[in-house]
Amino acid sequence: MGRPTKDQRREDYLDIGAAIVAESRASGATDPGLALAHVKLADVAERAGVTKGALYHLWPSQEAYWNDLLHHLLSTNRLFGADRLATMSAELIAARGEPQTLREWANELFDTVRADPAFFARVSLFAYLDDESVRATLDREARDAIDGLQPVLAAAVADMGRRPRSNGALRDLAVQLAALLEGLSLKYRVDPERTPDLPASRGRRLTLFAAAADALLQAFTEPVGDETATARGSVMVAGVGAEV
Amino acid sequence: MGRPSAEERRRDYLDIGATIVSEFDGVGEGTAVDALANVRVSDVAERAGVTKGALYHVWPTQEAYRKDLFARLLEHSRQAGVRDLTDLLSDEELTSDPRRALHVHAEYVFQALKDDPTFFARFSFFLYANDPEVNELLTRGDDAVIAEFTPLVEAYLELQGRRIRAPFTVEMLLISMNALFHGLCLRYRTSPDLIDKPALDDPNGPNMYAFGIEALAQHFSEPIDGGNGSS
Repeated sequence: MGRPTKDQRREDYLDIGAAIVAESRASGATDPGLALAHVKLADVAERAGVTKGALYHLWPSQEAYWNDLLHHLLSTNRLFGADRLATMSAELIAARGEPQTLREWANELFDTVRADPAFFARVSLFAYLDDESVRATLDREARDAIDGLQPVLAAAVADMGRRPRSNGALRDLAVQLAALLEGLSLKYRVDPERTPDLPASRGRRLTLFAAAADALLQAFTEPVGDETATARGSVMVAGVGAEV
Repeated sequence: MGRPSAEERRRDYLDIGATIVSEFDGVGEGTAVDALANVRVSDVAERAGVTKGALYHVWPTQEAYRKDLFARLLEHSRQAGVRDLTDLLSDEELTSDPRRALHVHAEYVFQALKDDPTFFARFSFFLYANDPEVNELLTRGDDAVIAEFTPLVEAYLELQGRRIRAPFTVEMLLISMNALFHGLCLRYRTSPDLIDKPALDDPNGPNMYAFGIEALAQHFSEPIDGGNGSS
């Protein structure tokens, strides 16, 4: 075990930065979206037990450090929380057949994402889109979420006695649901009262996201021809929130 | 033509900032956090041909300048949308076909703003939403969207023979539409092929944004003469 190489030291200093980012998320810091900006070279040096000069030896500026830290976080996949859409979609599949599932799933998605510092950390990354590796990562993430969502939507739609209006309808629906979820979560962050729940119907909660998601779901699908299925569909659609 | 007033100078300095934002092409070392952060008081002063001191006379800090600039950009992109829809709804041909008016409007707004750095700059400010001043700006921005678009959405629904369905409110509808727009614009930046296309891949149909807001308007409303408005 000799003296650590320059590369090892560099790695160590970036790991410390990643740890600071993770802590600011876990502590629910006031502005988790600014995760990178919270990481100051002076703090990294202090934790590493070295002088700031040692870090400035590796990075000419604070910005240069942030730039490397960003790529470090991306390559180690540490900036992103678990993919909420995929995880929660899996739960939906498991619970399939419960009449209120879609509404509850949408409620839970909204509750989770709007309070999730990782979501806001991701939005903060949009500021770095001129960096191709950032763009590619966010693009892949978006596509994975949308791909993961489609089978769930297909099953839910079939349960409702409905079917997609075209081949690409479920993909478009998944894209819109994700966009709506993110947009409403941003609104919520500015002022929770902007995105109020609808008055509970028979004690069942209905978030604005669930209600709006229902609007999109209905628009991208249509009742399967036969009347029994259509009637059944209207009952099941009520599970998402048509009936309020 | 006397010496420009303090207010005129202030406006001029903000105009220069808006120009700098609009020139932002994302090229850099990845250090510019966003287009707005790229605007430096010293650059504005240089373009204005004044000293930095002249700007610091108006704004105590660079941050204060950026906040004012942000407020101006919010205002600008919102007004673009309102004017367009007002024009469309007063156009006789489109009044006879309000759905088409909505589609044309949505297409116009999306195409106008999807690549506009002055519009995109707002997203960095969501990260400062806990800052009381920024929160106030964003809240006022939403208030203005609601105030300005409420009569337009109500006119659109009325032309369709519809009205807002309780317990929904026109505010909920506008916030949902606006949220969908923001979400689609964010996704467009990483994955344009998923967003900038007609919904259902129907070349004659509305684009994704138009399709989405039409669906929301339909679901949040009901026919004026009664009946089930949710389908």
